[in-house]
Amino acid sequence: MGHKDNGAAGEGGSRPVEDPLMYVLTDEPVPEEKSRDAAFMRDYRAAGEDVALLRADLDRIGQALCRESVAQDLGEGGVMIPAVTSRVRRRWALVVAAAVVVSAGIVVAGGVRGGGQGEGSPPGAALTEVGQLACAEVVAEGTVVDTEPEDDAVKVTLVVDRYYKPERGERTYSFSAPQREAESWTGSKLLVLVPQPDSGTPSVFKEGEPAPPGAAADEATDALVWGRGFVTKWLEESLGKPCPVDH
Amino acid sequence: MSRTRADSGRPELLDADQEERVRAVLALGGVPYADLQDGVQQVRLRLLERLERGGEPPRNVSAWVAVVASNLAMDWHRSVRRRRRLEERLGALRNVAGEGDGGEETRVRALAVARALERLPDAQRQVVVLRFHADLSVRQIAGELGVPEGTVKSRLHAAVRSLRTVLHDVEAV
Repeated sequence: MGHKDNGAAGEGGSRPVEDPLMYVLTDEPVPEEKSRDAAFMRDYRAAGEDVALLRADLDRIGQALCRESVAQDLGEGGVMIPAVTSRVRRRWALVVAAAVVVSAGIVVAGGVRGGGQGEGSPPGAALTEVGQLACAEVVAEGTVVDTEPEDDAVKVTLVVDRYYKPERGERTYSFSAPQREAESWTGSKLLVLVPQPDSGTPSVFKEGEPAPPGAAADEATDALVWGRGFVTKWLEESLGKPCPVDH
Repeated sequence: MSRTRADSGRPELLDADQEERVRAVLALGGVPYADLQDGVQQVRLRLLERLERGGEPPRNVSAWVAVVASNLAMDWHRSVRRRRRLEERLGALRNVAGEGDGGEETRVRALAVARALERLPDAQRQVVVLRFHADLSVRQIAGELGVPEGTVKSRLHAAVRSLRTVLHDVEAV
């Protein structure tokens, strides 16, 4: 946006209306001098279009939530969304470039590295990279919007930005993470490999966590970036291959 | 906009349009379908209590009931039941564009907006619903809620900035 959003003071504040969005929100007329500012007017029109969309969406949502027929259908699933387009992938590439590196997630690919690391390793831990992906029922990347304790695990719900496997899925996706620390993941971006039933536990690559031990020096140091690279590199080869784990 | 009707010297509590609006404001505020009728009854009761106390009917009944409904929704939204119902409510939106225009793109966008609406702080969600669904002006909202206009503006601005981000993200997909 070309204009600073300075019309919004903190709670209780009442600075003068100055930014384009605020004029739209308040229905106040744009002053003559501002109407001659092409950049301002471009932002003003964009804000007006967005607010019109929001109004329409609120009406739709309100109607949908009040419909008995819809309410009776609850629980049958969410909205199907397409796989992410190349345009979004380019944007993701920029995000990746700017990612800050910190420390790791759950099974963080203890198995993905083919290591079979210790007694806590999942059944698929000794699999090759291709094997890990062949055994994955779902590979998805998104932002955690909810966590809910279950018996011995935590139900983690993502708003999915991209499905790698299968190529399409619901807008939200939930999986069960065995670690209690998952309760604090709300707001985190992550990539998850969810194995087929009885073939292991989910592998999670969380933004801001370190890449798994054994990552090569020339590989990404952020777990999410590393995981994304791993999936990109091996997914195609894994497609159509059977999961080599005995169930 | 509909008005209350005179009936034997006494106004109807809510007409059909007002009831529909109350239901939508409750739903947008976070009240699940199963509780909507209770919410409408609560709004009726508040109005009845006001009249029984000898008070004047609100000058703008539609605005008044929308605000009462939004306050009820805030109370409900703060309760522990909200988390359990969230997924149900979002699941209900899968057909959100089925009876309107736009198809898949509209449906995906509406779902994203609904989800973002759920994540807004209660006070921000309330002003968004009152401004854009109940069509109250900033001044009306401030008057009804008893807060300064600047507060309404800042809440509205912060909320719409968040929601616009969602719109743009969905647009890019």
